Amino acid sequence: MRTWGLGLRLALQANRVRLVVTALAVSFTVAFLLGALGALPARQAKLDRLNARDFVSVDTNASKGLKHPPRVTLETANGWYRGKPFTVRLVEAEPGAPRPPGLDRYPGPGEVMVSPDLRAAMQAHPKELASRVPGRVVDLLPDAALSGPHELFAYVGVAKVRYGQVVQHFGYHPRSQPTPVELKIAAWLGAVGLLVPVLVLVGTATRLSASSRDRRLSALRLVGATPRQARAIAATEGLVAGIAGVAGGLAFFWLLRRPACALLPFPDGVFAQDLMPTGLEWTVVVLGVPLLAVTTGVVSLRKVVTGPLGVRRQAPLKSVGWWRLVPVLVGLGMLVAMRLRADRWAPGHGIGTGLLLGGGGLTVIGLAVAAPAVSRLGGRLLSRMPGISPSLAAGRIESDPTASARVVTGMVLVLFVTAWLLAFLPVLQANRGSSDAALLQTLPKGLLTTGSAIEPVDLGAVRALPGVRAVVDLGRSTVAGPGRRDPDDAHSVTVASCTALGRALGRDLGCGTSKVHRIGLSDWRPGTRVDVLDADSRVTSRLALPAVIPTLGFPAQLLDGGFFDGDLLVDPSLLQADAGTTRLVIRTDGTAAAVERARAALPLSLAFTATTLQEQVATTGQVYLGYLRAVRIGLVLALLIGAASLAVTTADAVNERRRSLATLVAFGTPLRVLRRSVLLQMGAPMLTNVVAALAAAAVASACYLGTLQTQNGETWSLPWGSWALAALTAGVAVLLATAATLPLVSAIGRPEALRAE
Amino acid sequence: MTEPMLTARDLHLSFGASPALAGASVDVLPGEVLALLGPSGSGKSTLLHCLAGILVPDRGEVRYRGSRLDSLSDELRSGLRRTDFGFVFQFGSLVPELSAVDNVALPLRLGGHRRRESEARALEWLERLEVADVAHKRAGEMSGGQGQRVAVARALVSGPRVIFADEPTGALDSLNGELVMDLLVGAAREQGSSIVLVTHEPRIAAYADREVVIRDGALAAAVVA
Ligand SMILES: Nc1ncnc2c1ncn2[C@@H]1O[C@H](COP(=O)(O)OP(=O)(O)OP(=O)(O)O)[C@@H](O)[C@H]1O
Ligand SMILES: [Mg+2]
Repeated sequence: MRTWGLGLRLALQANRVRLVVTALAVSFTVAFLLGALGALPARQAKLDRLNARDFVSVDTNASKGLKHPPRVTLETANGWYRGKPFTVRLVEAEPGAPRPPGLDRYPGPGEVMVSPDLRAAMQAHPKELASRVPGRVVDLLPDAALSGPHELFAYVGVAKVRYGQVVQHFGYHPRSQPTPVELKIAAWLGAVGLLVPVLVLVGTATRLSASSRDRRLSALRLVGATPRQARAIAATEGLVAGIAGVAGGLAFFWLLRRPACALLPFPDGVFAQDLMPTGLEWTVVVLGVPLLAVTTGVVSLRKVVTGPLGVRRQAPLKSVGWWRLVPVLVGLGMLVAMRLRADRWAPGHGIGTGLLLGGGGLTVIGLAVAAPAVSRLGGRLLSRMPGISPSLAAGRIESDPTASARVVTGMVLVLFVTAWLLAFLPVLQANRGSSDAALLQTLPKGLLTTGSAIEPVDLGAVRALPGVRAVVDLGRSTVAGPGRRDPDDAHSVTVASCTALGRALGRDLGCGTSKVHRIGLSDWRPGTRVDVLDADSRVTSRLALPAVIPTLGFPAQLLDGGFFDGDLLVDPSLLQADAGTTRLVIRTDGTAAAVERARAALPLSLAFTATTLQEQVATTGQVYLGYLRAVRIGLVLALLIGAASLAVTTADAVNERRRSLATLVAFGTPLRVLRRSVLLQMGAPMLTNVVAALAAAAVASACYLGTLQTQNGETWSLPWGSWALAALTAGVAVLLATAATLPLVSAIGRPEALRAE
Repeated sequence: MTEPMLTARDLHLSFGASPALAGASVDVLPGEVLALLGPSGSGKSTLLHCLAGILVPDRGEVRYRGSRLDSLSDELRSGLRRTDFGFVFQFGSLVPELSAVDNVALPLRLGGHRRRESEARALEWLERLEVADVAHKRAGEMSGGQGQRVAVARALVSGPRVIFADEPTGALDSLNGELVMDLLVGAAREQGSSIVLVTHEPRIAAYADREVVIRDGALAAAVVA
């Protein structure tokens, strides 16, 4: 026990820099882990919140006339406000009726309760929301009543709910929905992408100024510290760093939880208190990470604990064998095998998944294992160069390739993971987000479409609004007849003027002179006659389809969106549209104010269904774009951490060699030669390793993408541009890190450096 | 005749291909100051390390007070270094991050003594070696002579039976060197400790009761002063 006290003193008095850097690295690890682990529970918490305020409704017919407990009737309107989802619940409540979480009473008629963000919006733009949230704000909704901090949500008290449901009880049984695969992949990639460099930083930090620690421990061994005591002393240092790191990590987590929530791809935000790992995860992180730090510290000491004479009497360094290249080659070989037999061994089936994960994992580990051999290769190349600096540098590398490799391993792993991710991103993007994202670019801004109007709409008033460019109403009619394969089936057609629609959409739809157009895959036969039906399926007139039905030049995505009824667009001059089924297309100038002005002018039911195309796409697209953004932020962070650990190790490597460098200076070696040799000694192994990492990543991604191509018939191109950028970034990081050591070399050039031991 | 405190018989030790010790034998008597002399690279330090149980010879045996030292476990040999042996090397034997008093107290604290008691004894020794004024300076902040005197204090603090000194004055000027030797030998004689002293300075060797010369890893001649 006394030893621990001594270890504590040594830890605090000896190398404070190492202690601080290790503690910081551990803090990052803990904070990242807690954040990443908290993301999935945060999603579940959001679902739970939605479930809790969802309700089971009463079958009012069954209980008609009977005495019943106090009731609340709700009518929910889901819509959009300035690009954000917006929900209003109209409430008609009897005293004592069941309430959703967070509400201790219901608003009475003329009263409203709103979420904080909705209240802010109402204060900023009172006119836009007055009609949709009618009444006096009596209360703000607390967190418990909302699914996210930025949700726009309101309870509006009314005397009579027209189309509501009677609530039996709130809260579905909390059901956990299976996590979507994309989310799992994103979380996993994010965690690995961040953890690898952070763990490398931890490893780096615990090895900082290792030789001075070795000297200290051997001095202790000399005066009689047993191997166990020496290990305990070293472990204490790791433990101190670990405990400080966990404390720091918890602090980081609490401080950064709120901003971190903003990175999660949920439009209405995540409550900071929901970003919360499970109890088991907490325990594992809080106990496991310091344990890891202690272990790294002890393991890195294995060699020196044995001798009181320290490093001086250590066994000679083993030379680095070329066998080290084997694991990475085997890993890549597995990926190549997967590619070559993509028809049978595609990921998703046992062997394919095994090859992908095994090969990928082996390649990552293999790169780290191979780093000394690759560094040695760099040394070999250097020794071919003329001049004294290269040969000095080459000698150093050759004498201890492992030490040179240690400096770059972190960067290499980060680079590999980054390069792989860069190749994988487009796949993730294309699977969901990007088609929507591309569509967003091409669609006119501020184009509103509505659902069917129940009430009559004063189109003139809407047209007269400032910022409204055009209003087209899409009617609907029902037709049936021999022009279709199944003549008895009644089908909807959209009734609108093609040219007016084209004008409103601001694009050339290819209307021509035809009055009938095909929308999508219509199987109406040209040149036939069809029956036009009324609401009671009676034939009111007949319509002759033209001999040629041109197809409307329309983005396919819009056709999927339920934008049109049926698969024909018929000019109003040919058909009488059903009354009361009008839907609107409103073209505004694209400003949020104009869009909201138009919505505010519509009857309440239409106002909630009026949606811009951007908003429609947003529901699916934005979430995935959010993931992409999170992954990209993760990549930048990973590269930064990688560069940081590179700079720390490089500076430390020079510092550790202070003595031998100072000796060289004392012997009269020009500083210039020394500087060049240090630059080469650091740069050459880095360069060969960076090239190796990028090459491995290129092979790995080519195999992976090629396999996907065979599997799904999609074409993916390798992201050469992004890779070049990553290589450039890595190159700059390498340069900066090595350049950062030059002042150190100069400082060592001063004669007093020799004394500093 | 008194029993030797330490005996080495026919020690062989090689680092790789080159032998550092080749049949060295030596006795250390209780309370004597024994000087190991010899040219550079002859194996003086290696012999001293074997005698102290830091290195284990490939062949031959080392006995301390009659029992085998070379076959003891690392744990037990560490314990001996703490309680029975003291060390003064040319440099680098102090822990640079610890203060003088902490350094001197180290063997006691590693042996499980209380901190306060250890520090009190350390201070006494620092006073005896006339370096109490640097007691709270770190080892890295002291002059060479001060550092060596602190090292001597540390070698003596646990009341060792044998003190191993490998060129203890090698980094000091002659005045400082003699001062350190006076203090070391004086205190050792007072405690009855033996000293195994490696040096190549005749003036320092003059402190010894007996000198042995080592050449190519074996004893060349024994001279009784
Ligand atoms: N750790 C080691 N690895 C390899 N050879 C060693 C090692 N330590 C000592 N030697 C070799 O063993 C031989 C004896 O070394 P030792 O340090 O005992 O000499 P020494 O007599 O103390 O010399 P000096 O007076 O220069 O200190 C030398 O040839 C030396 O090169
Ligand atoms: Mg020597």
